[in-house]
Amino acid sequence: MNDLSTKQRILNSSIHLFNEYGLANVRLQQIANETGISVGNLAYHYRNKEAILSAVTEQLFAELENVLSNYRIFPNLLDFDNQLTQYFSFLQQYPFLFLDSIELQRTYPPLHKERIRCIKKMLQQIRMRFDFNIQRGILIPEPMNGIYDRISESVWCAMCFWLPMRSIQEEKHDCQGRFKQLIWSQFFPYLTEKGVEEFNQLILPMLSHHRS
Amino acid sequence: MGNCQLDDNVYNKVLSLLNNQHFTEKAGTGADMEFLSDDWWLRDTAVVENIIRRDGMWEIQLVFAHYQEPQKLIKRVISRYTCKKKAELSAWYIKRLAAKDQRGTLQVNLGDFKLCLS
Repeated sequence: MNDLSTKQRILNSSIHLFNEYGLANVRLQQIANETGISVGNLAYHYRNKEAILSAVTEQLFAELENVLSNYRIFPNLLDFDNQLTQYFSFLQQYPFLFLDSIELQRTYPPLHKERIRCIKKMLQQIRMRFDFNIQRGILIPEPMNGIYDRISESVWCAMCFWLPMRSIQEEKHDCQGRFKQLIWSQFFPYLTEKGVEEFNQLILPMLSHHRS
Repeated sequence: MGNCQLDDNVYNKVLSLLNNQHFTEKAGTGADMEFLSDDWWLRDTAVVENIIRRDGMWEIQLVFAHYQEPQKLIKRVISRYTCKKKAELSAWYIKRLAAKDQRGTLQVNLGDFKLCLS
């Protein structure tokens, strides 16, 4: 822990506290205590809570951009499964981003704007995965106009809000298998025969691995 | 980077191009990597020396550009000197040596001169 710079230690403590108590309920004194420094020292590094939050979100969005950049590394269903793994660990690390959605929107508009930009990218990527897999013959052509747009939105909702929902229900967070099953179950009805074959070959063993 | 952002349409196009890449790209062959060993085109290159300041030293770089296709070029870092004058002097000698390739002379095509014979 001592290897980290004080700034990074402050950010780590802040993320932990934001996740634990929510954005609105964390005070500078708590962050200083958690980091093991005085409030004066904390103020030397970050002048107020907004500055801390801004640095936290800068780190957070850099990680999210990194996840988003892993689009179409593999030309098969495994590509999305890998991205789901990364999304899952991201959401586990920063649940406050979705648990405190409204707070973030009301109190920190620039951060909310940045979040909207990432959300749009996520949605576009999910939608484009449908197009790509239709072209590959893995998914059936759209059975009804606009249905894949709706499914993309529903997949996005599940990805972003399923973990916070589990947290509200006070269920344990370590449930990557359930998370992935939930997402894949929305794709499954639209797979072609070739798609089911690829799913059984590449994705099912991964899901079974989580179950065991 | 924070100020450079793609709008929705452009981002969609980028994703779509990434998707298409899978259908249009073919696997490479051994011949594609021949450029690593194929250096005969260096016979017909012009050599330009370039001295830049890097890490507190003067670095000599040589740029070899094909005389017919200037876009076909390579850059090589030769050495570094603490003194700029020394670097300039060395660069001049190195350039003279490199320009006179021992393996052959510059290929000359009469057609390249575009002479009017009338």
